[in-house]
Amino acid sequence: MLRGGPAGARNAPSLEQINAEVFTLTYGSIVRQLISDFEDIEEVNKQLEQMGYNMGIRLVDEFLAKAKITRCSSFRDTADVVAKQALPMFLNVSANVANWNPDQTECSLILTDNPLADFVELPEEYRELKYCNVLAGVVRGALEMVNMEVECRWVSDMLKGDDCYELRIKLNEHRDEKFPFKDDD
Amino acid sequence: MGCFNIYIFNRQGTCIYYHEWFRPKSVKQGAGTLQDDQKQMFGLFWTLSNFCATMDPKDQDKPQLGTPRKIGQGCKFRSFTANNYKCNFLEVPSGIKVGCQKCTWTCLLVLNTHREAPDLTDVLQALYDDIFVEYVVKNPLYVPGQSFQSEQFVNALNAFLRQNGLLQQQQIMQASA
Repeated sequence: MLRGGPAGARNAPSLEQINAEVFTLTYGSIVRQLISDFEDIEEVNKQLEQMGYNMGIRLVDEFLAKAKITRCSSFRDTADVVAKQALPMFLNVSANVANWNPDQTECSLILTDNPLADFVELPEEYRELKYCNVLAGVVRGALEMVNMEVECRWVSDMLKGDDCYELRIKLNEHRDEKFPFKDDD
Repeated sequence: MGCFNIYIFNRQGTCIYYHEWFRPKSVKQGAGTLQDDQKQMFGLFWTLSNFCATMDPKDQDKPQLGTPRKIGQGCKFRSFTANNYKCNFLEVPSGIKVGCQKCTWTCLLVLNTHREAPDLTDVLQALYDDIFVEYVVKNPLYVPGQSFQSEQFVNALNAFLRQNGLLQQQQIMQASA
């Protein structure tokens, strides 16, 4: 995963890079360890998503610092920014946004290439495992920090024989800023 | 010219970091306790941002005063200046708010050349980008939502402000003590 290093010039912060194979193998061993710790595949899926969520809430600050994006005026813009700027910055892959529903509240991120799952084969007994669930958690965590409550789930997975990775993102609520203290305090 | 103090708030209003370099009027004479002081600062920024967004002369659809606002909707409030200090703000889309109070009062000679403190938006943005993200967000021990203490952050903050000429000489001495 690309991680930011100390910034040089203000406009072009240098990003540290990690070897892609090291990243893939580390992730693979995390998943393997989770499976042997929990043994229940659904629990592993939940844990991966929670790990992704914890990463996402921190990752969003780094993304905002490095990417210098202008404000997104709608969920559509947000999805575009995630697919075209955030994913390339952190994972070095680009995604397409497609399959919008008529309300503009649901869309799919389509990835043809996923560094998390390089060299991976999913055996039959782990059919239920959502191998890349950490990514769903990251997107959910990151968008929650900018006040968009979303649900993310995988609808296609190349490890299960489909032809691409499709992550369905559904916007539940775009929250307003709430004053956190009670008025009579 | 120098910095008085700095506050960093998260979206829930918790002050996750506070540091003062020079505060002649003690907190007890002002708000009472440090917590109240921090709450007041947060509330002040909140109210002023809402007010600014409502008063924006360029915005087509302005929110009514008092209606809840989404982050980033409306114009951004940057700073206000009193006769002896200037308070600068930066709000990031993830809800983190940085507020910094800075002295504009100096002896008459300097006032002739530096009329007032320059716009610190870029400085605050750089502070967020290079220091907060680097030393706090990337710190595995940082729990979002709670206040943090980090020596690396404090050192980087002091060095950065010194570089930007925002710490006076005696404050530098105090900062390194």
